[in-house]
Amino acid sequence: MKIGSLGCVIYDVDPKFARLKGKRFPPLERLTLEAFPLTIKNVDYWMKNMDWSQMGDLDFRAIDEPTYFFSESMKLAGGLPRLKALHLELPWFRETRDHQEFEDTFRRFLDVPRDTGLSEIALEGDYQSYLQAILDNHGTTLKKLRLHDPERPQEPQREMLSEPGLCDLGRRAPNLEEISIDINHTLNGSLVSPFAHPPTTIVYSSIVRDSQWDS
Amino acid sequence: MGFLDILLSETAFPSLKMVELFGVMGISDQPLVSSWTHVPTDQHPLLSKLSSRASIDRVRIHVGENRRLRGGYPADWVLWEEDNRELVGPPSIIHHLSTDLRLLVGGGEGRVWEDGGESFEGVG
Repeated sequence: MKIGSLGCVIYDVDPKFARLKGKRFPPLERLTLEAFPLTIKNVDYWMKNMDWSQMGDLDFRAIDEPTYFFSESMKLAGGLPRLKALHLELPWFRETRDHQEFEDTFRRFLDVPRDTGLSEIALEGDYQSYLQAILDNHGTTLKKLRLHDPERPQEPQREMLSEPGLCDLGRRAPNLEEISIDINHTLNGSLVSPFAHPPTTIVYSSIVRDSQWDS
Repeated sequence: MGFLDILLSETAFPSLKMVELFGVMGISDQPLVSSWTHVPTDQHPLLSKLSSRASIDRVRIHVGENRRLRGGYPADWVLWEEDNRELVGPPSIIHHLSTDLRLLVGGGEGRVWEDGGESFEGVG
């Protein structure tokens, strides 16, 4: 484990921090986890041995099963009362039941009353289910909002904010200073001829394209 | 009113200072990367649109997100920082951004890139 300017950044280490030998960490203020096994066992250990009262910035990336963490964090006094910034790569679940459980839990996490609302939220993945909870609970305090669902080959066009949805976002989050969002390049959601403007030159094929990126 | 018009409206987003857009080009529309160039704001329609909002001092556009780009060539370009309002990127990207502007502002014209992208050849 390394504590640095980025907060608590953990790589491939023993998730139980056995070297502490019973001592508690100082209050955590920032925590970044990437591809870390947030198992029930680990979360229980962390909740018991860490002081979460000052946690201000959570950044979870490539975490397979964050459901239990969010569920348990709501049981802490105030439920991470100092949380100001949340960055989360939304997990993908094979089972619908697991997905639904995460969705319900994470929405409840967003609904937890805190000292103030969050000022920074970044969700990567299918964020649509959480937008209302974000605006209901954090709209007026939000200064930075990043909503991004990465494009994926062989899958349908991702859902994006509609123009009325964008208007609603501006109305309910009037203090936004930084916004990161997806653009719908299908023009109002409807398909448009690819050659509405005929191309003047075909400049590459898939073979050339591959070789370009590989070079 | 188009998507960008709303986003850049001082009425809708009165405090806005930074805009980041993902997917300005489709996933199948990765351009050739030959050399880098700079284009002044007033010579580029997308930049002109974005620069119409004086309070915005940072813009980042993610042109495409093809998985092949990840870990290799960067899929995004910082367009400007503070007063340096010049597009920085390969010329073929500049061309694509110009044409895709019509989609963003809802002008009724434009192109769509097939999802998945395996069957569509990009145009430059």
